[in-house]
Amino acid sequence: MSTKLRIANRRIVGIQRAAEYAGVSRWTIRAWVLNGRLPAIRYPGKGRSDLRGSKIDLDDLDRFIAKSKE
Amino acid sequence: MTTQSSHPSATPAPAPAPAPGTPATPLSPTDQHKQVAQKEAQSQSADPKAVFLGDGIAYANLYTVPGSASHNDNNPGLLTRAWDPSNSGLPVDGGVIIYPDIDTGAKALHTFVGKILSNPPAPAPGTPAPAGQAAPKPGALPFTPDMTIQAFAQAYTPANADAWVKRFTDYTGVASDAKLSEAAA
Repeated sequence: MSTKLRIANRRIVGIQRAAEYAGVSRWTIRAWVLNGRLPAIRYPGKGRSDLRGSKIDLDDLDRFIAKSKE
Repeated sequence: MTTQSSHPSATPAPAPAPAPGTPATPLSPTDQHKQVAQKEAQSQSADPKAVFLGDGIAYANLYTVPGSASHNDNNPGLLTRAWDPSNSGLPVDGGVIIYPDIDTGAKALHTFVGKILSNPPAPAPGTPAPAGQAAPKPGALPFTPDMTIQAFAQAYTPANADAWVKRFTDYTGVASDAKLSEAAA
């Protein structure tokens, strides 16, 4: 297995891990992406238009969380 | 390039190391979906089978397509009041309940699937129900765990069952002739 695959602290994560990070459900992360509030990454040749395989940049999520603070 | 992350809480749990010389076996898409469903079920005290089937139903209902009814109404299961009587006070859109947020709609979907999986299997045609088995209650869901995916779709969305089944099986990797109870196993 490539060393890169074993990097523990990843910045680009799947929807499940983004949900755990933000303390919300996968459904909420999906809704944020689908409503255009949170960017998702779709690498060429990976994933589909329906969010399968989409990734979230935790830096984007941090910015979204910061903006959501009252 | 190694990455210095500022996101320690995103650290995944360490995977068990494979035996030396053993290539790591990638999970199939179905197993990946089941793994995610188990995680979500743990965090919500929900049934992992209901979460897994619910995901397939949501995708087949085009929840991930903005503008679709299931997306607009926060209703990934396209549930009606008949299928979710506990939320009969909520407004409807063309018969489909409009949930206030997606988490409520997803929870309703998981409850709906859980009820199906706990329904008694239908007796074979012409066969009396086994002694001691209560007749279905009025208002019980017309779906049983021994239905195949195809049969479920015919009852659930008769107008576009074939396209629905294709989307469901495409997402879950489960065959259309698998029973609901087996699909979630």
